[in-house]
Amino acid sequence: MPGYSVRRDDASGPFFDGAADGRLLVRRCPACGRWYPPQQVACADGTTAEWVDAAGTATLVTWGIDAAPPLDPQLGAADGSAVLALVELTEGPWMYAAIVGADPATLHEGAPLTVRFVRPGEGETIPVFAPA
Amino acid sequence: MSDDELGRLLGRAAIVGLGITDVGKVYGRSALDFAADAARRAVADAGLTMSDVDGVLMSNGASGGVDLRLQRELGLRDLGLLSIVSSYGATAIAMVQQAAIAVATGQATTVVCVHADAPLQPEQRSSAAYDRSATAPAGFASYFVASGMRSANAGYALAARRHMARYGTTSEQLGAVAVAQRAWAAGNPLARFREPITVADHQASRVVMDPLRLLDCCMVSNGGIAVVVTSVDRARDLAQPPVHLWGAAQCHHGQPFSHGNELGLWTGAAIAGPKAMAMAGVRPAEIDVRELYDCYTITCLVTLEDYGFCAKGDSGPLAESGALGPGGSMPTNTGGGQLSSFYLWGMTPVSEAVIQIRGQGGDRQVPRHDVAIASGNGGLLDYHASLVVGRGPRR
Repeated sequence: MPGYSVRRDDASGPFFDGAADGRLLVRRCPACGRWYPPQQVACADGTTAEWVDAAGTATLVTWGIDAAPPLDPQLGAADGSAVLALVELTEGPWMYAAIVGADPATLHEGAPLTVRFVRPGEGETIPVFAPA
Repeated sequence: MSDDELGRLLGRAAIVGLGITDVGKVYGRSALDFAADAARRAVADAGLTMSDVDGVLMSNGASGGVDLRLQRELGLRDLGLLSIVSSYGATAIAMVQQAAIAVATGQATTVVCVHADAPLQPEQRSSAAYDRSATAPAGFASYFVASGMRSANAGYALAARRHMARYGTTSEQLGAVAVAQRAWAAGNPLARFREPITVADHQASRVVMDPLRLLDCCMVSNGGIAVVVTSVDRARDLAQPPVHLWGAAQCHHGQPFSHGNELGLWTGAAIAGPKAMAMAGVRPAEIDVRELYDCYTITCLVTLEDYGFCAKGDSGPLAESGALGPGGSMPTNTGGGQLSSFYLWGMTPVSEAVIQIRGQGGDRQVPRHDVAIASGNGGLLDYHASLVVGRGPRR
C-alpha cells in the first residue's frame, strides 16, 4: 500500500524537522535531566521538556511481525515483512519503531540497533531501526 | 482505612441482578438501545422494578453512544447517582466497586451498572472496529501507525513476545488457554464459538501478528450487559441468590514509556489482585473460580501470575497442564471468555462470575463455587481492576 504518509501536527513538527535532517530528537527535562520519548511534552512536575539529539543507538525490547505488509515497502524488514518493535534508546526512552534491514528470524531481546531514516509516501521522514 | 475495613464496607452490598442482551453479530441496534435492554433485563432478573433504581453507572465500548440519555430511555426520575465511567477494560469492575460504595454510604440504594457496545457492522471484518490505520491520524499517531502499531493486536503481540522471550512461554502454551476456554464455551448457550479446538488447531490458525495467531485474539461483539447492585439487607428479599462483594481494587500502573517498563511481564494486577484478596480475606488457593479478562491469551496468562495462582513465568506450563479447563484444578474463564463467548469488555468476566456464584452455569457450572475472582484490563495492560465475590456474606 504505497502512498501512506505520515503527517505532522503542531506538537510533532520539530521531531519531523529533525528526522528530515537525519537527527533523532527526543525530549529531556532541563530541570531534572530525565529523558523522555518525543511525544511526551513535559516532565511530571510540569517543566517543558526540551528537544535534544539522541545518539541514535538502541536495544530491542520486543517485536511483532505483522501478517499484513508494511504501509510502504521502505518500512519492511529484509524479507519485506512489517516488523514492529519497541526499542529502548541508549538514553532510556522507549519508541515504537519499524525494523528494517534485518531477517526477522534473527531478532532477539537486547539486540543492538541503530537509527535510520525513511520517507514513506509523500509525507514526513521518520526514524526506523536496523541492526547495529 | 485498612483492607479489612474496606472489605466490610464493600460487603454491605451485593450483585442481585444480571441482564445480558442478545450478543454477537446482532445488527441494526444502537449501543444506547443495547444498554437500555440490558438494564431492563437486569432489573427484572433481580425481581425489582425500574422505580426501585436510584443510581445508574454506564460505560462505552468501541462504538460509543451510551450516555446520559439512558436515564430518559429508562424513565428514571430523581437519581442520586448518574455517571459515565471509563477506565477501558477495567470499567465494569470499577462501576461495581463505585456502586457498592454508593450503596454502603447511602448515596443510592439500588444501582444499575451497564456496559454496551455496537462496533460491528454487517459485511465488515471484526478487525475493522479496532483498525487504527483506517482513520488516518496525524502527528505522532500517524508515525506510530507507519511503524506498525496499527491495531490492538500489534501491541499485545509485543507483550506476548516479551513474556515468551523472558520466561520461555511458547505459542502452544498460549494455545492451551484458547483450547481450555473453548471447552468451557461448549457449555455456554450464549457463546459464539462452541466447537472444540485443539492446540494443533491453534497452531494451524492464521498468524495475525506474530507471535499471535487468530485463536489468541478475542472476537468483537455487539450487545449489552448490566448488573444491579443493592444492599445485602435488601438482597435477602429479591429473586436471585445474592452475589456478595468481598473485595475490589484497582491499579492503573502508569509505567513510564522508558527503561524499566514491565510491559508483558508484570501488570497492575499484581497490586490490585492481592489488594482485593486481602479485602476479601482469601488467598489464591481459596478461590474456586477465575474469570480473567482475556482480550488475548497472554492477558489471561500474565494475570494468573500477577494474582499469584502460579509463580511469575510459570503460567505457560500451568495452562499446558490442563488446569484451566473443565475438570482442571483451576477453572478459568468458565463461559469461554472473550476468546470464545462474547467480548463485552469487563462485563464478560463479571457476568460469568455472577452466573457461577449463583450456581446457574448449567452444563459449565463449576461444582465448588463459593468464591470467584474477576479481572478487568484496559489499554495495553495499562489499566486493571479486580473483584472478589462470594456465595455467602464475606467471612
